[in-house]
Amino acid sequence: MKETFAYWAVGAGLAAVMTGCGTMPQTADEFRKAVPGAMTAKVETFEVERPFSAVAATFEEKGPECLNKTVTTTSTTPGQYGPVVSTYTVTYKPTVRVTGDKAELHVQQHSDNTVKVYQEPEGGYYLLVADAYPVSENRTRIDLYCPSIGQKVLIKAVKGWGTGESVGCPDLTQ
Amino acid sequence: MTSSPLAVGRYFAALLVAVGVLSGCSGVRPYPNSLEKNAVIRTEADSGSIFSKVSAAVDIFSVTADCRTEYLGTVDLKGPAVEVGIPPDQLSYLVFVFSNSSFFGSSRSTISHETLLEARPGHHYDISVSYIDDIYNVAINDQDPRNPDGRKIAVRDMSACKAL
Repeated sequence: MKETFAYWAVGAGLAAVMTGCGTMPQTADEFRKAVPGAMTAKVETFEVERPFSAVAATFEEKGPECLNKTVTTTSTTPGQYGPVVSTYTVTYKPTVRVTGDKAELHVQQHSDNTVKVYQEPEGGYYLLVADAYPVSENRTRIDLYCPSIGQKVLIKAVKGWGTGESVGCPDLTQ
Repeated sequence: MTSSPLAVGRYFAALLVAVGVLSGCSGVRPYPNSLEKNAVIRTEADSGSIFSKVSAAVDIFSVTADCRTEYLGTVDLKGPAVEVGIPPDQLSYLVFVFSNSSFFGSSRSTISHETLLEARPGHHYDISVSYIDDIYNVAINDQDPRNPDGRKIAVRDMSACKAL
C-alpha cells in the first residue's frame, strides 16, 4: 500500500487541521470556510475546457457510483506472540447537488476505528468538497477543498471527473 | 526481536489457516461458465507499484424476482480477455473485485464495483475492466446485432432491482 492507514486518520476529518477553534465542520459550508486556514488542507482552483453541464453530469454519475462505499483493509504485522491482524473499515458518503449555476460534490468519511474526540456530522467528517461553476459556454471553474496530505487517489479521481480525462473510480483503500 | 517456540508455532498456525482460507475454504468457487459465451471481459490491471500487485475477478450472482441474489461463482480475470456465458433473459448481478496486496504479505485490501445486468438473448457484451495506478473502471457495452456500435450500459446497483 502506497499510503498507510495513518492517512486515513488524517483524512478522517482532518482532525488536527480544523481543531484550532475546538470544533469540526458540521456542514459543507463550514468545511469550505475552515479549509483555507487549516494546516493539512488546501483549496485548489482550476478551469477545465468542458461545459458546466458535462461536469455536473459527471459528478452526478460518478459520485454515487464510486464513492458510496464501505471499504475494509487488513494488515498483518509480526507480534511477539504471533501475527497481529488489524482491520480498518471506513464508510464514504457522497452528496451531489446541482443547480443552474453550481454543482457541488461533498465527500464524507466515517471510520469505526477512530476515537471521536470531536462531534462527527451525520454521515461522517467532511473529507472533500468540489464546487463547479460555469465560466463560459465551454469552460468551467472548479474549486476543490481537500486534504494536502493523503487522499491523493480520491483527489486525482475527482480532478479527472472535472477535466473529463478520466472517469474511473478511486481505490479508496489506497 | 526474539521469538519463543510458542510464538513461532502460533505464527505458522495462522499462516496455515490463511492458506486454508485462500485455497478453498473461503466460499469462493469457480463460475461454471457452461453457457453459450455472450460476453468478453477485457482486463488491464497494474498497481503502479513494484511493491504490490493487483488482481481482478468477477463474482456472478443470479437475481430472483424478489431481488435476492444467489452466488453462481467467480471468474478470475487473469488473462487479457476472458469469454463468459452470462445467463440470458434474466437479471444477473456482477461484482467486480479488485484485490491489492503487498509483496511482503503485510497488507491486503479489496474494493468492488457492482452492477446489475440483464443479458438479452442474441446480444453480446463487451466489458472493459481496468485498474491502473489506483483508479479502476468497469464499462459494459451492449452489442446488439442490429446496432453494431453498441450502447453503454449504465451502472445500476441492487437498489435499482425492484424498479426493473
